[in-house]
Formats: sequence, C-alpha cells, structure tokens
Amino acid sequence: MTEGQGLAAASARATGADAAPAVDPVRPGPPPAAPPGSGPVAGPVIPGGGEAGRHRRVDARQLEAALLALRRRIVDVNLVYETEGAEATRAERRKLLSQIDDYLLPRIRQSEAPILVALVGSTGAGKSTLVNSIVGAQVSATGIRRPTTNSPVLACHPDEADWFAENVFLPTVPRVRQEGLARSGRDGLLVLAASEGMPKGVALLDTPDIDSVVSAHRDFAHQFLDASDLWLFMTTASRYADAAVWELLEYAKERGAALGIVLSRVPPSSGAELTTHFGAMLEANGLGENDRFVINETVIKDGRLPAEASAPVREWLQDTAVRADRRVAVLTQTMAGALDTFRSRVPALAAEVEAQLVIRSDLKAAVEGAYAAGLAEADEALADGSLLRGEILARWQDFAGTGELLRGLQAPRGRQGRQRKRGVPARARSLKSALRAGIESLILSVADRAAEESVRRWRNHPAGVALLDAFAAAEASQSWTGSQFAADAGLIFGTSAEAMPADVPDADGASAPGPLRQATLPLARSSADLQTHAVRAVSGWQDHVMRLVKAESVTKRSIARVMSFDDDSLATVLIVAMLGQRDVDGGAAEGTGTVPQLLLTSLFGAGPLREIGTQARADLHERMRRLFDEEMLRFVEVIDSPGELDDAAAVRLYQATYSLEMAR
Amino acid sequence: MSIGEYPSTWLTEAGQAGRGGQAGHGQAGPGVAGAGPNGAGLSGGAPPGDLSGRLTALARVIQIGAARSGPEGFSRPLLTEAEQLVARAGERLRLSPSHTVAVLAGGTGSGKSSLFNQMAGADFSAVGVTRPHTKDPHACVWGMDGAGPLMEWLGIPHRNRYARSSALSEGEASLRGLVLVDLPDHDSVAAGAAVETNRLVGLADLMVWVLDPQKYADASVHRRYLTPLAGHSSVIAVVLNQSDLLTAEQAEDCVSDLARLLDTEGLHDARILVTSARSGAGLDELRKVLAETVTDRRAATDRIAADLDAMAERFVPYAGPARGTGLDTGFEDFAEVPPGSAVVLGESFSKAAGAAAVGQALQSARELRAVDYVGWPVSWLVDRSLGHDPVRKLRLGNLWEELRGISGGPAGAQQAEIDNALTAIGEQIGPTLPAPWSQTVRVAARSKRDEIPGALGAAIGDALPEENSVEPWWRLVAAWQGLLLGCVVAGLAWIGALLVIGVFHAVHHAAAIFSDAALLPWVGILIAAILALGWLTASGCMSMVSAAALRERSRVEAQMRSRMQDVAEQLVLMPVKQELSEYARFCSALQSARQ
Repeated sequence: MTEGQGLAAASARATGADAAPAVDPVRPGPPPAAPPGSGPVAGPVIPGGGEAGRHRRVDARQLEAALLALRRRIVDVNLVYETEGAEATRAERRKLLSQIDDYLLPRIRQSEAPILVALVGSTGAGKSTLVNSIVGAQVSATGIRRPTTNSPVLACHPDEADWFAENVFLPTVPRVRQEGLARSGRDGLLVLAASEGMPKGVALLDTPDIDSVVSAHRDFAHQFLDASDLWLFMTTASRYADAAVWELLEYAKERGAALGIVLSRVPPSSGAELTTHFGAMLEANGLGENDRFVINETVIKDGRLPAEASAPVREWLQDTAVRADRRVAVLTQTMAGALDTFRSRVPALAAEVEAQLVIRSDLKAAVEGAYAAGLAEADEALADGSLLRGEILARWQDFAGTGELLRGLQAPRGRQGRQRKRGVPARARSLKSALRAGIESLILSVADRAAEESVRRWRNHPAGVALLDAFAAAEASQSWTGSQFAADAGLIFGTSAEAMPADVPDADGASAPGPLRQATLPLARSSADLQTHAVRAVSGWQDHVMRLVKAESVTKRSIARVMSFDDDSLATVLIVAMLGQRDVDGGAAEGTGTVPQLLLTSLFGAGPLREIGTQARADLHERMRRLFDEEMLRFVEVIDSPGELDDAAAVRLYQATYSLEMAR
Repeated sequence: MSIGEYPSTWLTEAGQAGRGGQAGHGQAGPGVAGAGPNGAGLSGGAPPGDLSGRLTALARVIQIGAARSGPEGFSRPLLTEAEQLVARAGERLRLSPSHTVAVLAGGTGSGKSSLFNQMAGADFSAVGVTRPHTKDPHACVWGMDGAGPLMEWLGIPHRNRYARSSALSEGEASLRGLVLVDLPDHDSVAAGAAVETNRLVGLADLMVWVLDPQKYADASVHRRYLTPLAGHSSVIAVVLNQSDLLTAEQAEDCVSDLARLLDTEGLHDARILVTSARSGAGLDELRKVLAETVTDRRAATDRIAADLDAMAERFVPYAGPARGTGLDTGFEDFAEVPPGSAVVLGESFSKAAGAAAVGQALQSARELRAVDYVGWPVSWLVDRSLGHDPVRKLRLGNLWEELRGISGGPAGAQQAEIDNALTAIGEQIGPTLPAPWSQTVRVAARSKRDEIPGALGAAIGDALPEENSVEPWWRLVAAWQGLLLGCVVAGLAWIGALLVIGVFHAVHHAAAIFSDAALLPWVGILIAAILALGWLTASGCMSMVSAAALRERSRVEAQMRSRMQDVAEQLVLMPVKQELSEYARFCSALQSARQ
C-alpha cells in the first residue's frame, strides 16, 4: 500500500481529486500489527480496526455526491420556531455543515493531504510549548497569561504548506502565513507556520483552549477538532478530573475520532500514582485504548520542553505520517467515526424539523381553538336569552308594551307612507338598532376574549413567546409612524408581555421593554376593523332576516289577507324571538320570550317559524365565522412571519442520510 | 494548640452573657457599637437595623409578588430564590453573629486544602495529588462558643469539624470567631461536589476564591461564580495560590491579568492576594485579611446586604423602568385611576343596562296608564269599531294583557357590553404600568364581572317607581271625561227624543224641549262641542301627562346613572384601586429593600 491510500484515497488518487472518476476502489488494509511502543505509557492501539476489516467497496465519487446532497438538505433546513432545544439544534446544524465542509469533503477530495493533528486541551496544559518542542522552533507563543493562545497555529512542513493555504481546508477560516517569530495573532485568524522541523505527512494544529473564560475559544477549538484527522488531547496533573476535560473526551468518543492523550505537568514524585489514577479513569470511561503520553513538570527553556520529554509524541506523529497502515487506520477511523455520527445526528435533526411542523400546527390549533370556543360562546349567548337584557329588553318592552308592536305589524296598506302615530317607526328603529348594537358588542367582546386567549395560549409555548416578542419588536419599530393612528383607533394598550427580563438588571435594559411590551397588545385584542365589519355583518344579517320574513309571509296568504305586515318590524320581532328561544324551550319564560313566540307562531305557523329561525341562526353563525376567520388571519400572519416551512424537508433529510449510507 | 480541645475560657455558652460579653467586647474593640450588657458579646456584630428592615421589605416584595406569579406575572424561580435568600439571611443573622464564615473555594488542584491546613496549622484536610481530592467540606473554628448551631446550619459533617484552641501566643487571637471552611472543588467530574459547593458558597460570609496560575482564567469559576457575584466585592478575596511555581515577574504579570479579568466582571474592589501554601509566602497577608474580616464582624451583614442588592435589582423590572431606579420619584404620583373613569364607566353601564331605554319604556308605561283615565273613550271606541286591533283579529287571547304587563321593569344588563367597558378601562390604566401589573390591573377590573349585571339590574330596579301609580288628578279628569261622556249620551238621547217626538210626533204633549225640532241642530252642535271638549281635554291632559312623564323619566334616568356610577365605583374601580395601591406598596417595599 502506498502513502495516500486512505479511505477515500482509494478512488481519488489521481491529481485533481474532483476530476478523477472513481475507478479503482480498494479495500482498506487489514489491521496492522501493533508497532513497537512509541509512546511511553501505552503502545498505540490501532483504532478502527473493525471498520477497516469490513469488506466493502467505497466509491469516493458516490460518497462525495451523497454528502453534497445531504449538505444541500441540511442547508435547506430552516428552524423558524423556538423550542427548548432550537438553539442547540441550530448549532448542531451549523456543526454538521462545518463538519461536511471543513473535514469530510476536503478529505474525500484530497486524500493525499497530510494528516492533520489537532492539539486540544485545557488552558495552561502546555499545548503551545509542546508544539514548539516538536517543531523545534518558536512557532506558537507561550506564556503565563491564560488563555495564552488566541489564534490557532498550524505547523507543517514547508513542502506541504500549500495543502493548507488553499481554500479547501477549513474554507471558512481566514488565515495568514507566519513570518519570523511567533507573535500573538488576531483572534479568529489561523496562523500558518511552515517549518523544516515538522515531519512530512503530518501537520500539527495548536488550538485555543477549551475551558477558559473566552468562550469563543471553545467553539473555535471544536471547529478545528471536527476538521482534523487525529486528535491529540492534552491535560495536566491538576486538571485531569475537570468536568470540561471529560466533556471533551466524551465528545471525542462519540465522534469516534482517532485520539492520543497527553498528561502533562506531572510532578515527577507522584508520577506513577497520577498515571495510574488517570489511566483508571480513562478505562472507566471507555477510552483506555487510546495512546497515552506523560510529560513531567520540567523547566521550560525558550518556550520548549527538553527534547527527551517531547520525543515520544514526536515519534508517534512521525510514525503515523510515515507508516501507511497507521495512516490508513487513522484516516479510516476518524472519517468512519464522523460518518457514523451522521446516522443518528441527521435523523435527530430531521426529527426537529418535524417538530417544527408540529409546532406550527400547535400554534394554529391554539388560535383556532380559542376562536372556535368564542364562536360557540356567541352562539350560546344568541340562543339562551342572555342578550335579552338591558337595552334590548327595555327597547322591546317599550316597543311591545305600548302597543306599537301591534300597530307596527300593520303595514300601511293602501296609502303609502301613512303613519298612524308619530314614534311608531322610532320605537321599532330603536329596538332594531339596540339589537344590532347588542349583537355587535357580543361579537366584539367574544373576539377580544378569543384574541386574549390565543395570546395567553401562545405565552405558554416557547415558540409562541418568541413569535410574540418578535411581533412586539416589529410593532415597536413601526410605532413611530403608526402610533398616532393606532392610538386613535384605540389600539395601543399595554399587555403583559413575557414576564420581563428578570435578568436584565441594568436600567438601560429595563427601559427598553416598555414599548415592546405594549406593542404586543394589538394582537391580544380584536382588530381595529372588527367593529366596522361587525356593524356591516349584523345589519346585513338583519336585512337577510327581513328578506326571509318577506318570502315567508308572501307565501302565507291566509294571514296576509287578514292583516298586513311591516316586514321590518316582523323581522325585528323574529330576532327577539330567536334570542329568547332557549327561554321558551326551557320553559323558563320570563314573558319576554313568549310574547313574540306566540305572535309569530300564529303568524307563520310553528313549522315555518322554526325553519326561518334555523336559517337566520345559521346565517348569523356563518357571518360571525367569517369575521373570526379574518381575525385569525392576523395570527396566521404572525405564525408565518419567521419563514416558510417545507413539509417534506424531514423526509428529504431521511432520504439523504439513507443515500449516504448506501454510498459508504 | 490542640485539636478538638476547647479551652475552658472559650466554653462560654451563649446564655452566659457576662463573660461572652466581655470577651466579645474585648475583641471587637471600642469601635463596635451596640455592645450592651445583655448578651452583647454574641451580638457584637448585630445586623444594623436597616438590614433587617430591608429583609422585611424584601419579604413584603415577595409576598406581593407571590400573589401574582405566573408566565405573565412574577417569575416563580425568582420568587423562590428570593424566599430562600430571606430565609437564609434570617437564619444567618440569628446564628452566632460573632462568628464569621469564610470559605475556601476553587477548582480542583488549586491548593485549597493545603491553604486550609496552613491556616489551621494542622493537616485537617487531606492533601493529595490525584484529582479530585477533597470530596466533602471541612471546617475549622477559632473559638467554639456558639458555633455549634452554625456548623449544623452549614451542614459540615461531624468528623470534619475542628476547633482551634487558644494559641493566642501565635498571634491568632485576632482570628477568634473565624469559621474557615475548605470546600470541595466545583469543576471536577465528581458528581455532587458542585452542589455542595454551591450551597456553601451561598451561605458563606466571606468567600476566598483560591486560583492557581494554570486555572486562574477558567470559565468554570468565572462564568459560574465570579461574574454572578459582581457587587459582592467587599466579601470576596481572590487568592492566587501556587506562586512558588512562578518567578516574581511572572507572578506580577499573572496578577495584573487576573485583576483585569475581575475588573471586567464587575468585581472592582475584590482583594487579590498572592500565596503559596508550599513555601508559605503570602499566608500572613491572608491571615491578616481573615483577621480584619473577623474583627470587623461585618462580613455576614455585608454578604447579606450584597445578596439583597443583587436580588432587589432583579425585581426592578417589575416596578417599571422609571420607578425602580431609586431616583427621587415619589410613590404617590403614578398609576392612578383617571379622574373621569367612574363617569365613563357609568355611561357604559347605563348603555349596557339600557337606562335610556328603560326610561323611555317608563315614560311609555306612564302615558299608557294615563290614557285609561284621561283618554277620550270615544276615540278608543272608534278605533275598536273600525277594526284596527290586530290582536283581536288574530284571536290571540291574552296577548294584549301580556303586552301591557311587561313595560318598564328592571332589565338586567348586557354582559358583552360590560365586558367591553371593563376591557377599555383596563387598557386605559394598564399601559402605564410594568408587565405584571398591567395584567393584574386588568384582572382586578374584571374580578367582579359576574356581579355587575345583577348590581346594574338592582340599580335600575331601585330607581324605578314602585308601581305605575295613578295621579289623583287623573281620576278627576276621568270623572270629568265620564261626565262629558254622560253628556254625550244624554245629548244623543235628547236628539233621539227630538227625532221621535219633534220630528215624527210619536208622542204628544211632550215638553217643548223634546219636541221642538228646531233644537236639533243646536243639540247636534252641543254634542259636537262636548266631543270636541272631551278630545281637547284628553289631548291637553295627555300632553301634561307626557310632560310629567318626561320629567319623571329624566329624574329616574339621572338616578339610574348615579347608581350605575356607584356600581362602577364599587365593583370595578375599588378592586383596581386596591391593585394600584398594592403596586405602590410593592414599589415602596422594593425601594426600602434597595436602600
């Protein structure tokens, strides 16, 4: 086997990996025998032996295509709603992407590139010192301040520097070439240090710490880890039990990466005890198989360890670079490890995508439920006689009790426009408009309550809270122009936004939420247009009832012969009868329900009357439903505001994962 | 020195005030106020009055907040935390104020146990190279009296309690009253250690954070502990241990970097010490810091005060941006019910209850009733005979009676309109208040929502006259109308007689008055005049009745309105005002807690 036959090298060994078709798949070599111990503590265990032993053919082109397809699907994922885990899922998505972009694709395309070894670990463990010692030159700054390394340093042989200079490796990270001595670079820049001291075929990346106050370093370190072929983890005698250390080791284990572990700054006096304890801890955590090195606490000269302290690590690296079997094993293990994680991680992402759909329908269902309850409530109020109170009742009494009702029923026959008494139409009109106002108020109050209830339901949902906050922020930014109008329309009222920032202690932070909070309010109330629409709907309905009555009374000739009707008054009586229907049916008549019922039954007959009543009720229900649908639109707009969801995104992710598995 | 041996001079029980008082006094020096004769020694560092006042104020804040917690109100976890703080502070103030609890906290391997042993002068806490080493807290007391309950409270296991005896000769007298606690680390993988550490860090009076050159910038200590403790600088000391590993230059560099870090975290005044448990460097300074703290006896109250500051700060958003800042905004001037509210609400309620319509109906009922008396029966007879009564035509039986009976009673009120009015008032007041309050005010406005329709109905019922009474003069008019009707009848009879006798001469020898046909036109005119008179009387009286009914209507309506306003005041504005005064109480309590 020649150098360069990695997992993917099999098919892409020709120069220009992209262009070369996959023609020559070979199977990774069998697990090589353990070479003579190059590490002082444990001989290198060949990781990934099991993977390598599997007989299968890997087509790099297919694999690349499958990865690209998966990548596209992951890019398409849009997590628009907040959930408890949404932030983590977004991070996971970014991470998947960066793993594909920074590691998998470059590694598949350029299988001959040097093995990239990431040196990670606790702050103060001496990572930079170790790099300098291995390279034999001051390539990375060392010091007493923590964290020392702010920008990662990549040390490699000058001949191989080109591999890392191009935009293939870690395309998202800007880099500079190091000239002269190590100096502190700017955060976020990758410093490329080419040095003759580095063995060929391997590059060493000195990363920022994982546990200092500068939390950006941790993310940075993780990005580099994900882009590396081999991890060299470094911790110290006083830190090896830190939680942060074991979090990272646990991650390495999950990730299945090839791993070497260095315990540094070991006091020579207690070296054996510490190594044993640490070894036992590693064993207990299932990491006992990895290569281990111990570096004693020594005097540092020129930012370098004594040669004998760093030699084992250097030899180990060189060995990995030179021996093809080791190289293949390392590459195979890390890549297979990364791809293995996709089996569970991508479906987990897909599950989150599905959860987003559920959230959307949950939010919609919350609003629909609130409005449906409101509609039912309105229907109930329209039937149980609760509207026959106050103004309407008094107007009815005035209208019916004075006999104007009876006179009103007698439409001027013959002489048009004749009025028997002044005030007849006035009372009928008053009753009619009282009825209209009463039903309007009912609609408004039910809509208000439904809106409030919708907002309340959303408040109990993390995604709902996020939507409301976003809505409030958008409203607040518009309120400069809109406030006057909104105030005129009676719109801007305070509501309780999210129980505000208990953790925003500063006065600046506290003053900001004021307008924000109040801006949510328009949503928690019925819309400003509802009043106008309700007026229109109710008077439209009254006209409709009148037409119903007219149609019915025309057919009922027998009555028409006896007396004539004012259709308008008759329709009004019918509405009153309708509102009090339940009273009559339930036998709990207070006298309000019976009179019109009696009158109407004798006019229309029980059957047709019931029919008219049913029709009128259905029509009103329909009109209210339309009003409420319009009200709900406001919520639907808010739900859709963060972006569209693709219903099939999850399925596509599953498919892409499956294709990837097939291509491996 | 001896381990676990209490010298007799220190065995004073808390109740034996005399000696304890003297000793305490002697230790505290002349500067300590309030060292009275009665148990003064043990209360030498008694909390300043304002601290307990502030705690009481915080308790009130919690009590007010607890009634309004929820997703839109006060945050539950915050309230729980505040309750814990109050309870903890109360406990601490009750327990041996003459002791100062100092904890040594830090990451694994920073040398806490070594420092602890150095300070205690004996190997109480085992020191080891493997990590993590210390798994439960150790404590050492200088001066045992009264420290027992404190130890219990701190939850130090019995086997880990040590006492330092006299040793006055070694200059440790100044440490008397110190309880030094060696904590387990907070950053190792050993589960449970961090929980214990968090608890004890919360209870300590003085926190000594032990850092070392390797780990001094660790996120685990800075993010989790030091940053949230900003504002506690007076009760925090930071020790850079293991200085023997550094050259003097490096140590200086390290300290300046550490100072910079602490500064960015808001711990501007935290003391930084450089020590080495191995070489013994800097230990005297540490001892001095501890001694000063113990002598001042202020650490416990300082700690509580700092906790209070931080906690009260977190409640500020609930008081509103302007009010929470503690500037000189008085608490009287804000969040009042707008002056015209009762009137506006009363109007809305009148509308909901249909006051105007009831008035109208009352007027109609009055007029209708009056027609029976003052009306001109002839018009009615004419109507009837001409067949203008549809009820009769439809043979609806008693409908007419029913129709007559329903006029002008209390009508209840429209729930929907009441709701809308309540929403409006809530939104008038709400926006001026911070988040939970705008909601609770709204809830308060609605709190008696269900009682309102009944109250409004009662208000109308009260305002309405008892019955549709009949005015005496109506009867007079009725009699007059009856007389007129009699005259008409008589006149008709006369005409009949004239016709029979005068025209057809059916009867002879009749009186001239019945027989003179020439009288016919005159009698006719007379009857017409009487009819006209009756009609005029009727319409004249009706307009008087109408005018009176109108007056009555406006009187009743005015009454109803004022009763509606009372209802609004009682059932809506009262609860709102109560809520607003709760808000004012909350703000002033918070103000006192923030002192």
